[in-house]
Amino acid sequence: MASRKRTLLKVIILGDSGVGKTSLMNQYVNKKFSSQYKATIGADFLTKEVQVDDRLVTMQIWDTAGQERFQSLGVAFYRGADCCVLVYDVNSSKTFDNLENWRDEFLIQASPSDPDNFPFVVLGNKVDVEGGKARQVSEKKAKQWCGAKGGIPHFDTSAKEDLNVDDAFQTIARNALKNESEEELYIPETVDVNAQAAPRRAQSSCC
Amino acid sequence: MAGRLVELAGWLATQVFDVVGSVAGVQGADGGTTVDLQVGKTVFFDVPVKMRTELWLSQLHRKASDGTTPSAGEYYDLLFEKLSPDVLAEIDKDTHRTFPGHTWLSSPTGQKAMLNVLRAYALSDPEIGYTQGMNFLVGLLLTYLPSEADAYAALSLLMRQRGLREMYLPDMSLLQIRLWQLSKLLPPRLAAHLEAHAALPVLYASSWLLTCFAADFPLHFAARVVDVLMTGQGAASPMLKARAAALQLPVAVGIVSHCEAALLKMGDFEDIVNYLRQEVPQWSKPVLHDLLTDALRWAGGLGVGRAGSQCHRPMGVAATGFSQAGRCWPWP
Repeated sequence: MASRKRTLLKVIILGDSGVGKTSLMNQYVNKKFSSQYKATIGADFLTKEVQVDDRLVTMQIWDTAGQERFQSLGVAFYRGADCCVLVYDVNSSKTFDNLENWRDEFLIQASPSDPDNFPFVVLGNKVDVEGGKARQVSEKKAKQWCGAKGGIPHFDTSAKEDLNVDDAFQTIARNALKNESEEELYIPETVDVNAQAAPRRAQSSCC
Repeated sequence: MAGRLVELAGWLATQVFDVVGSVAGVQGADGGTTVDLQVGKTVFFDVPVKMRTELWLSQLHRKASDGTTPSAGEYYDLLFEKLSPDVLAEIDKDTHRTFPGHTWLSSPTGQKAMLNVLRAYALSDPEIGYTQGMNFLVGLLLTYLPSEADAYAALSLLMRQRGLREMYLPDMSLLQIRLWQLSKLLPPRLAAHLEAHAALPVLYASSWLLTCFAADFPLHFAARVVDVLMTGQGAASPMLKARAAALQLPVAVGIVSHCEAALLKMGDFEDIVNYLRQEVPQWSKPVLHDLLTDALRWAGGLGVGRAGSQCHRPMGVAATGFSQAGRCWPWP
């Protein structure tokens, strides 16, 4: 197939207020951490070119406001997402308990074509705080939850100390790309006027 | 007896804050000691910061005399009431990250002042409690007003008398309506262009409307919008009052329309949204000044608020760059 449009992966970061969504995005894209970020009102995005295996793709990362009432604005941001990143603060069990809510709300508002297989990635951020002594959510507990939700990948991260941030986003990019390619299968790139109407959704044979 | 003590403590706190405010807060605004003040149709260039303080205070005193804004006593009473820990935690998370570059507002005293005012407002209005965005508005008010009690009174005035309140209701429905209206008020060709590239108002204007432009634009810009909101030009009749409430909307329309030529040349969603969110707010002070004057003219054209037809400069400021005619606009 000749020159196709650049591949754009849309990634949404969700989670409670103050868990470090903006910091994670900035650490990944700009390789820096600041304790001076403003509270995100509405949403912001940054883009980054990423190499996934042999493909160069553009990741558009959306950072959203964490206050629950802002979820009603979500539909505008979530549309067309290829992957959703759920972030909690390992030092606050409440932010972990709310992941369920964030995930459900995302699935309702984004209404992806195949909700059961839509790629999520969970990040437990701020593992650096007090050398881990303040931790309220164990990695085991988090992984159990992720397992029960169909095997969501989980990473312990620290945006401040750049711990696991690259690895996490590499997985995010890979899973987003997989989702995006599967969606693409449903859209014929050329139209054969002689052919019968193609079925709208071909079943992907991939894993 | 206890009531008297509270009042006394409150009075003392005001006195202390007066000093702190005039030293750190007021002079900290954009690092300057002069401001461009919008009084009705007139822009006063490079006047002392104190004039903005006086302008805003005069509105509060006028409203206080007819009992429509809360007194300092009410504020200090609220400081002793207990707020739900969840709401308090939400406020506390944000006061640490409101105006991070501002010397006084990012200091412990400044953060505490924002927390106190937001906390008092949440107690006085449980239906709203706290919505993100109010933190920037309160920071802006504290920058120019001498005491927490004044900032609280100003917030109450803006919320309840100038119609900002409904935008912060938990269902965010008025914000959604305003964003929809914004798309309908843009020049049709520009609106079609933005829509074709999926650059929806919710993506660039949510924080403009929810923070009165203070989260994105420099303080000098946002404060001039608040000048107009505070004085509530033409807000005498209920109908006009309701229209004045929407001032941020036509200002937003004015900003986007001002950028029409540049935006029409952009064929990419990211370029468009980045331009409006990142580049425009970083324009130089004179350019932003013109942009706002232009936008306020739009506001007037739409029959909302009134500002900006004459320019008054103190002697000797002609060389500051605000010198040419054309910096002020006749009201349509």
